[in-house]
Amino acid sequence: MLSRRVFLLSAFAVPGLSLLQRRAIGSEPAASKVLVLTEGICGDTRAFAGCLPASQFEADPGPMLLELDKSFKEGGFDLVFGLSRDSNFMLVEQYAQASRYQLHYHGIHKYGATGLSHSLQGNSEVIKYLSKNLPTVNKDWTDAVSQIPALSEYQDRQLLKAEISSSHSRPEQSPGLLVSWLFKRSIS
Amino acid sequence: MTTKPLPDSLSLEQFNQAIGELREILGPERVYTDDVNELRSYRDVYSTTADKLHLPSAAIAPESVEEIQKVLVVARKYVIPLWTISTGKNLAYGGAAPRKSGYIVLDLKRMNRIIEVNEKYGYAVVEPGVSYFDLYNYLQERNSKLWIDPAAPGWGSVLGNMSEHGAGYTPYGDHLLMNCGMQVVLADGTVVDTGMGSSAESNTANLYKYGHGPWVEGLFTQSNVGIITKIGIWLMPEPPGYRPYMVTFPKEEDLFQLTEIAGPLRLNMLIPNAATIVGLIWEASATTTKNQYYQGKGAMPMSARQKMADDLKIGMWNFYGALYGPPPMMDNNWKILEEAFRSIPGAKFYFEGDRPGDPAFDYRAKLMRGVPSMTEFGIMNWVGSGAHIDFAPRSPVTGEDAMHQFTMIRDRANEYGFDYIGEFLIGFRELLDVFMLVFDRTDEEEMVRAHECFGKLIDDHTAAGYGEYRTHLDFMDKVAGTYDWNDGALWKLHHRIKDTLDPDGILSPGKQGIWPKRMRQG
Repeated sequence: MLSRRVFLLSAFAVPGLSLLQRRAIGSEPAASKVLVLTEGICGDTRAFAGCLPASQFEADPGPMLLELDKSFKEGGFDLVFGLSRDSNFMLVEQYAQASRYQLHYHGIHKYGATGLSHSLQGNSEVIKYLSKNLPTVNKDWTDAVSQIPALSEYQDRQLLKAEISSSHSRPEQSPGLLVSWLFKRSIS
Repeated sequence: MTTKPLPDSLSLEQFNQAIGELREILGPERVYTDDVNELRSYRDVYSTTADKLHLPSAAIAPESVEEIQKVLVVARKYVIPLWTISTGKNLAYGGAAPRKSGYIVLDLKRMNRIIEVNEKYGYAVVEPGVSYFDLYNYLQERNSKLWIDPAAPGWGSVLGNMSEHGAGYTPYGDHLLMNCGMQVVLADGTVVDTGMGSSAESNTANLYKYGHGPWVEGLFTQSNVGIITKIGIWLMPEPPGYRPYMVTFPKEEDLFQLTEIAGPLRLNMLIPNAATIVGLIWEASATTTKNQYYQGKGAMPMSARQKMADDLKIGMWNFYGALYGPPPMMDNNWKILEEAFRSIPGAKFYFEGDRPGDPAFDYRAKLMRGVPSMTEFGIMNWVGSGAHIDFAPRSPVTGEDAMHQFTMIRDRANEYGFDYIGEFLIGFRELLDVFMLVFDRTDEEEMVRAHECFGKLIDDHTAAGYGEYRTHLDFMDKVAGTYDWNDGALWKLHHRIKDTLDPDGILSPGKQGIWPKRMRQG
């Protein structure tokens, strides 16, 4: 059941949030219902699942997508966040957009000969945070990615793009490319 | 100054007037005009061309035949092109996107009733918005002993796939063949029930296809002279036994002998279902990605492909079929099949349970027993952010034709830097070659290359006498142009029918290369 995995997010729960950032948020906003999705295909996605209470796609994503579609139509989540292979992102996107959820952040994480490249697009707080933390985090880069829902609570609509790289080495069984993404329910 | 795409020849003011009238018919909640919040889902995410070529001006979602009739009044009044979709999941052929920017998408997803399931006679009557998942779950919840025959992705529409001449993998795999009974709304709003269903008291509307007089259902498939609002589809009774199998073959050249063997077995119904010959990379991509075996540019070389085949214990070709029926019958048929396939050196045989945890075998086993899934999308991870358009020519079921098509496609794809990712579906008398041209959807240069490659494939196959049965939006005119015998007599006929049944040219202009008079060149 997806609903059992939904967690409530308070922006004040973000680790490492500076005083300035807390002031920027102002009074604590209402908690958002967040659904996190991933798949247990490699060390990176398993590490990500260790950071947040995530539901996991199976080899056949069909059953979860049906459940997700139903929840989307009911407006069950404020944010849907994930780290997955691109095929599962595309499928989630199809259902999300049909229920007026908009893509607010998208990152492509690709292993190459010299490490990991990150092509990121999102609001400025997210991009600034990832740009600072992804290259420096020693072990699991997915830990930095897992902070994105909290940072997306900012009402900052300025979209930024960034191309950064880190020296992480490719874990065994990695597909070589993962995408991280965040959908927000449109209020209109 | 607006950048919103509009229907040809309509001003923004006229468009807004039309939208206002549509809102009165459908309510504001079922008329979508917001490009960001509402119309993003009508893009073709697998296009090789820019989004701007296929952007709708709006989308509307009627819930009944009566609402469609009222919508048609508005469309005729303003001469608005309506692009009809069922669930819009025709990915690789255009998805939910319209043929040209500015069209209004007539989205029938909310017409999603399963009107009837007849357990005794084995059929269902469904509306356009019913997906394979919907029908499967409906039958499961009622402990039905009927199977469906899904296309590989289970989210597709039963009606939509049939109307695109789609195929499945059970013995009921020819979906148009399994259609019996159709309701169509013509451009002038007339509602027609076809075949036996045109008799008011008919009790055979979904049992006998042809009725009395000309058989017209085909006119409304891959077509634009009416809106199909309901179909009957035959469902296969659950057999007393089911046994899926896989046979792997080690060499590319084995395709010749394999096709020669499988063709007669299929024609004589020892292979009762739409069995498939799956190429190495299609099969491998369920469990691995290209860069796990090859980090260079261009197509994967044979050395890497061979290592991948060895590691994954799969063949250069992988034959999937299934036995259906009472166990003694399956045992007998298998003896014949095994002996035939074993004549190819290196053939290896697998049944259910022989390949635990192999998602490729699992989803094939599901498909051949009518269980819908979404596993096949995993193939797109072959190149990371993969997308595909499908090239789908037909040929006779001979080893020579299979090898000819395979080598033509492989060589052309490799020339453009793409891998051969293909499979052959064996029909009774024809071979359907499905080549997935998989490209990186985040790489604009690669999209252009894929587009050019696809055009060359059409040229190559036309010159060799092979025709495509279905194609992407961007290639519909080009493929239509290959059906040109006798000065294009067939397409001239299509256009005469179009002009007669839809004189205003409002229904899906350009679908399959059929254009209304006002939009035809020359």
